[in-house]
Amino acid sequence: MAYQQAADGERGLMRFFERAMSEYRDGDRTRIARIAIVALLAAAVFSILMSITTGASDASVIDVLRAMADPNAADGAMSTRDRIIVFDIRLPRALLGFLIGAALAVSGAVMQGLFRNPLADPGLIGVSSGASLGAVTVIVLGTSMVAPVVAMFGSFALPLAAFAGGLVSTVILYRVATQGGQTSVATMLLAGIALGALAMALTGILIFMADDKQLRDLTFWSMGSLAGATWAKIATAGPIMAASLLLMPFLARGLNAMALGEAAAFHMGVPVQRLKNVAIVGVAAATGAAVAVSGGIGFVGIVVPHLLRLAIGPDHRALLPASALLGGTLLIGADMLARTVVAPAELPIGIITAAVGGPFFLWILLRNRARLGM
Amino acid sequence: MIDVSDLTVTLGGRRTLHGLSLQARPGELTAIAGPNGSGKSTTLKAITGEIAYGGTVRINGADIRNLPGWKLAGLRGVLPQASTISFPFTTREVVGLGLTAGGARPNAEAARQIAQALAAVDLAGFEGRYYQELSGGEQQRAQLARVLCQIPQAVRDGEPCWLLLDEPVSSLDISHQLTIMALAKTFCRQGGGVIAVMHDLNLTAHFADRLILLKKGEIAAAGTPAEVIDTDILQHVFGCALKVNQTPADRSPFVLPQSAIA
Repeated sequence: MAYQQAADGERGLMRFFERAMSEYRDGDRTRIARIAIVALLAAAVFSILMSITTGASDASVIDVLRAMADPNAADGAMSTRDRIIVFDIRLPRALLGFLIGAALAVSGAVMQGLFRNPLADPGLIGVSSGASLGAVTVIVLGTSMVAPVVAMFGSFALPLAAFAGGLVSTVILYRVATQGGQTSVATMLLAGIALGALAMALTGILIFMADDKQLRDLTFWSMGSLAGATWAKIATAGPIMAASLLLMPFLARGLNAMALGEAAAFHMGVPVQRLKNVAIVGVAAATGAAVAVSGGIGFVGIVVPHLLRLAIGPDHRALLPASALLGGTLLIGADMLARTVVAPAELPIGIITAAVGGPFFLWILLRNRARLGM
Repeated sequence: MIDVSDLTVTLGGRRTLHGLSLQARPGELTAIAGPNGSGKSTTLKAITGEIAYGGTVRINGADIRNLPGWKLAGLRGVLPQASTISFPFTTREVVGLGLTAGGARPNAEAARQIAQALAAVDLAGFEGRYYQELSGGEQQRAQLARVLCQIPQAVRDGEPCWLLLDEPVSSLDISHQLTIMALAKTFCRQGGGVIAVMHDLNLTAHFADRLILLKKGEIAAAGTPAEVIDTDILQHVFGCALKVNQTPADRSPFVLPQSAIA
């Protein structure tokens, strides 16, 4: 009986995959995308577990799970020291890393959908620089010029400032690059460079004004690192990132229609202006919060959506959740690498994402050179 | 009925339409023709609500300014002149986008509806092909299939639906030009209405019920193709010594470029 059920189950599963493949050949990738999302979900859980069990102190996955199930168990499964390392250092770090990776990847995907261009990325077109400027302003001037603002928002001041910086640069960029509903790629990239340079110059002035302690903070922050992850940081930046991540899937259908152009999206009943406003605010919030807590982590937003489009297609209903899962997983992977390559020291994670992402970006560019007309 | 009155459009500080008024009736194929830059596409864009305009445009009696986008999307489908897509969508996915227009949720019938729309534009079996790898003419027909998924019926809840087509046959071979024009004609016969911007006067003469000729943002002539495709009118509108002839069989007008060269 049980054997029969198992056999039926197996046959059902086979049929399911066969059906998915035949639909895939007919150009319908929804079922394949669903399978991919389930697999990515599993990979995400696995990466978080791996991340909290690797490092100088080795606690096994079983120990950790047991300790999670019963936090008051005082038995010998985990020492108090391991418990602190796992739950107060590694777990917030893994969760923050996942959130940041997810926020950056989804922001990239939304931005690419909005600009109708696979090369749009918050890091590349000056949004992150704008967010950095906001964050650096708070770090350097937090005790002097903008002290009242910092006093008013407390620990939220940094992510909020980064959000404001990201928002201003996104809005300017969109205004400059879009004319009559058409976004020019060349204008977008060049305006992004100009905006980025301007933000960097202003950031440079602030760095020039900074004292020694602030300088050290700034340097490490700007290279990107998850080393300072604490529950307090998750509590301030986490809700902003989580809220934008939850908001973005509602844009999916509109972004699909936008792929045909703004006019066609309008003809299909998409409230184009509202879609653009929500997308820009969402991207700025997610990028701003991510930049505020982790500094410059580049290329996640461009690599992840591009890989996924190759695998499951560009339908945003699947692309956005899949980007969140893969972005989070990859960033946790990059962080594990950053922690272990030069142990006991740590590489800034931004170096790893840039070292992998830079060549990847060039590859996309070369592949699409003819089609993008650049 | 699509009722356009006193339509004005200003583009880049220049007035391109000077108070056009026209009506398109359900059951009829209304063609808009005219020289380059006469305002054909601009007129269509104003009727779709895509660009800012002065005057009023009513669809089935309702001012389109007061209709929410999703409602408009259920009343009329629009075929743009040319469309590029920046991401690797399959033909099935592009056509399927039409089913989601106006916030509709595609159901179990989706695969059949998409196959039907593709067959109607002679692209049966193209579902799995990447849109970007189709030829220009095939892309144009795939876009029309998408519009057909958006507006699957000529009449909906007793109200006529509309297809607004901007040069629907501009990159098609002669056989597919006939296929697509016949499709538009069938849509009209079933009670819907079509407004099409056309370049080919002979196709227009054969398929259109009404023809509006524009010149410099104003209506130069309007009526049945037999009335409008007339030597004097064409010479005036196109500024070219064209000569209209009639087919021996049914005395419908035709015009050949050779007539101007002689």
